[in-house]
Amino acid sequence: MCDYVVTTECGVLHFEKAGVMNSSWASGIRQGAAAAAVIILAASGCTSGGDTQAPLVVAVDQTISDLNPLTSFFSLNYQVADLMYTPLIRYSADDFAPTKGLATKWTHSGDRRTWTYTIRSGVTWSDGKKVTADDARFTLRLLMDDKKLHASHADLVDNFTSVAAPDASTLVVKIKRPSSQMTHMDVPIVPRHVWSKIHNPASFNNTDFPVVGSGPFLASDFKVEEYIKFKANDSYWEGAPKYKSLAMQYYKTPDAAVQALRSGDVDLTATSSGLNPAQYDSLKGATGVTTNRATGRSLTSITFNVGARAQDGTHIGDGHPALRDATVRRALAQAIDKKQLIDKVKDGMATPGVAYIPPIFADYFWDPGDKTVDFDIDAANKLLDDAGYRRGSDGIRAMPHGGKKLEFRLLYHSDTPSESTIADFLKGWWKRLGIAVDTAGADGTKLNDTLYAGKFDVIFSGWGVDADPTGILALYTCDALPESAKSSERDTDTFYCDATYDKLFAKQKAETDATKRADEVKKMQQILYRQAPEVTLYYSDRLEAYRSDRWDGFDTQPAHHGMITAQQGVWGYYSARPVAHETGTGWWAASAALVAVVVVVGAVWWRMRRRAATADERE
Amino acid sequence: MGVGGWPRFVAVRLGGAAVSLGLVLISAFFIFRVLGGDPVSAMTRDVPATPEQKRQLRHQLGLDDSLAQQFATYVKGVFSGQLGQSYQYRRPVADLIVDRLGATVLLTGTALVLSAGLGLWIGTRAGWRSGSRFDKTHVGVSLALWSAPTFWLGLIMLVVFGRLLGWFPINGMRSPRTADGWWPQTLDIAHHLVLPAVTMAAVIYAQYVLIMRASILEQRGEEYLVTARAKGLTDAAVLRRHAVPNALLPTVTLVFMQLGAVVSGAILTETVFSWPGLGQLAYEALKVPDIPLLQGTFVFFSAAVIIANTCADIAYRILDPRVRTS
Repeated sequence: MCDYVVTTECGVLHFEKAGVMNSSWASGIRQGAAAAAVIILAASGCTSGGDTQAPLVVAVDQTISDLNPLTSFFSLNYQVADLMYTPLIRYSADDFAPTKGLATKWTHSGDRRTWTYTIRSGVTWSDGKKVTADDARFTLRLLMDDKKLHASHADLVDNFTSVAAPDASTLVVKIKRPSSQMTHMDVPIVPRHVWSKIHNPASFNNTDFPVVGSGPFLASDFKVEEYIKFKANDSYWEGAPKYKSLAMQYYKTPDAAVQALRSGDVDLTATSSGLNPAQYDSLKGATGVTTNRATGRSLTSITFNVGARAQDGTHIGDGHPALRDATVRRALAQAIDKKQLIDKVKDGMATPGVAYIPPIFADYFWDPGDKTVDFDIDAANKLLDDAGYRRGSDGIRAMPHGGKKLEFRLLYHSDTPSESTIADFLKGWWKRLGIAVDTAGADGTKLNDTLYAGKFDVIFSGWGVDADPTGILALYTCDALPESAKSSERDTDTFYCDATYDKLFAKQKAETDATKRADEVKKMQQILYRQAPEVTLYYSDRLEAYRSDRWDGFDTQPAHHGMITAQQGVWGYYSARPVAHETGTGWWAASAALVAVVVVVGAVWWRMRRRAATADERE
Repeated sequence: MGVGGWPRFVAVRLGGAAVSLGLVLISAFFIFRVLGGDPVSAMTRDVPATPEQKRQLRHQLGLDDSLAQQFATYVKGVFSGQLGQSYQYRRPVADLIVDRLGATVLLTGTALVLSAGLGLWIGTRAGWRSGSRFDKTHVGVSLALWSAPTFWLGLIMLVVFGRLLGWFPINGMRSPRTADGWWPQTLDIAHHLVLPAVTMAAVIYAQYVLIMRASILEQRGEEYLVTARAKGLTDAAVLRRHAVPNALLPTVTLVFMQLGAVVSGAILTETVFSWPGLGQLAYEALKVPDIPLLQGTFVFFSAAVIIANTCADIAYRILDPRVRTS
């Protein structure tokens, strides 16, 4: 509470903010507003936000419905889970390498089928209870035994035969087949003493505040699509964060988030796909704002219909037969000037695509070196000439031996403007190859339906890539094909299927030696690059911005050209440091404006009534 | 028709409403399945999942059941009061609707009060002095606004009052920096409410203006008004005590019909202003597509309109004896 003097000061502050008005009306409004403001002050007390309490306000846009760390789908789910729960093994901020979390050491038996994790001692849950190996055992068992939780972790826990915690600091997991996942155990570990009492953990919202966790922040309030608020965990084992609270505020349109950053409502943008180049440029040089251009995790690609079919061999859809020939696909790939595309649609803020995994994951990124396919229309034409695709009288090539003309359909997302621009460029370049292209746009739903029905020739695609490449590489395995022509699975991105690739996929999945695994992952990309079922056009930079007049010290991931938000982990949020303090007058300006509006409307109405009344009297 | 006609009248209306509701329930199931799309790919687009994980998920959501099986589950659910489980939120649809209802009712309720109040007042004045400058200006303005697409008007309001002038917040229902406590929070919500509520009201108030204006015009020549004047009442009193009560009747129907739209009418406004209500819920559901949630919101919106219209029919009959005899 505050006294009368402070109250008056708050009121005066508003008036200065309200601007200059000179008419007699204005002075009336001013008086009315002053009176109303004082009344409100008396009723509410003057709550001024303490300096150390100023929250780090982060603009987010991805809808999540609960704070359950074990049912994550969207990257924001994972972020929230990482804020509240320390996993056994984390991905480092420097280079995504496996880093100690709750586990300080992990070893495996000779056959790599028994894994022993040593649990960090001295870590407590935020309610003061000790974190032990039994919590980890409980969490993993939960994922194995609970039917619904099992669904989202099947890939990991289906491989488990047993999970045991022989003592408080030892967790032993026995598995069926050796698996690289054992070195990336990033499942959030939940407190047994809380979660064992939950009747149905899969539908648990985890909104019993304060949430009991082991991470740097703990959720304290949550309203779907409005905000998620966190309080710093003072007993966090790595040391309490340097500020007291973190608020994720929803901005469903990125432009609104940018505007809020300018006005100071928001401190950091963390929208799911980052800022676009135009927004990023508009924030350059804005007062108190620093922009960050980081290497990104997302790729934009086009995929070819390499002959859509089901696992049982049934043919699906009506893809152009010429695209089953890798030579044609290679020629198309060679006739794409990726640098020009990046200049035109990304303002230069992207890296030309190579194989599949973006260079941000330096261990898995494969650089073709002197085998890089550079933009060369002549060479591409020669490829097609040599393979017997002759031009007809209209300049359009046809398949050898009087086959079908090379006329392809190119389908892009109508809600992504950059794709229609790219489609126009592709059309122009491919025309010079003697290939006709018919471009069309469709919304995401229709585009996907067309893809899975195999009724396409060339189609746009794009993915966010994870530090563990298994998920993204799985798209090109034979297992991703639908089981039969009638089944409803929709896993493939291009109907590609290749035995060598599949063998390498299984091998890398089982490989626990990081170097060997990286080798196998690179070999897989080499196959994709050579066979060209897809062409990665570019890896978009992640563009973000923050209020540097208030915050600094963000650790990026990776260390060099890294991102602050959308990390694998929460290094950016944890390391942030307030540099200056905000005085909490935001809502005062808001309420003064509102009161002013009410007073003006009231005054106008009252005057008009009086005038009407006197006029009536006269009649 | 005497008083005996009442039970029959109510029964017919309720029967009609029940038939409409039944058709809505059936069409809700099929409409959203015709849309196509794969919820599982949408849900795993952000963080790629392996085919095995997707299979499990598909099974869990019941997407691998046949259409007939899915329909049976749906019908069974509806009759046991369950609208199913949302794919993306993994919570019962009914809970989600209840959660969001408050925000929508606040927004559309405010807009309804604003538009009805303003519309009826302008309509009365315009009708009473038809042909005056007031009449021409206001009818013109209200019609222009009525023709404006809601999302467009919303964007203009955002740009002018949110960005250029900076008077109002441009997003959502609350600011992150607002102090805790009832007063600051309420004021903050009211402040956020201004632009979306004014936008909605601006688009719909023309209906009230036109109906009220026409209705007043009709009353103006009536003989009972001459009598009232002859008694020596002032012009304002004649209008207030005699013309307006009679002219209000047709607007009752409109108000009731709008009450139905209170829960459904805000999809565009909510999307433009990121207002966390039912409209935005439906919009988010459409993007996935989250079929149970789409079904649920569709049924809920339609039911609200059907119920409101039925109430309007019944209320009109109670209020206006002439309808009963004609």
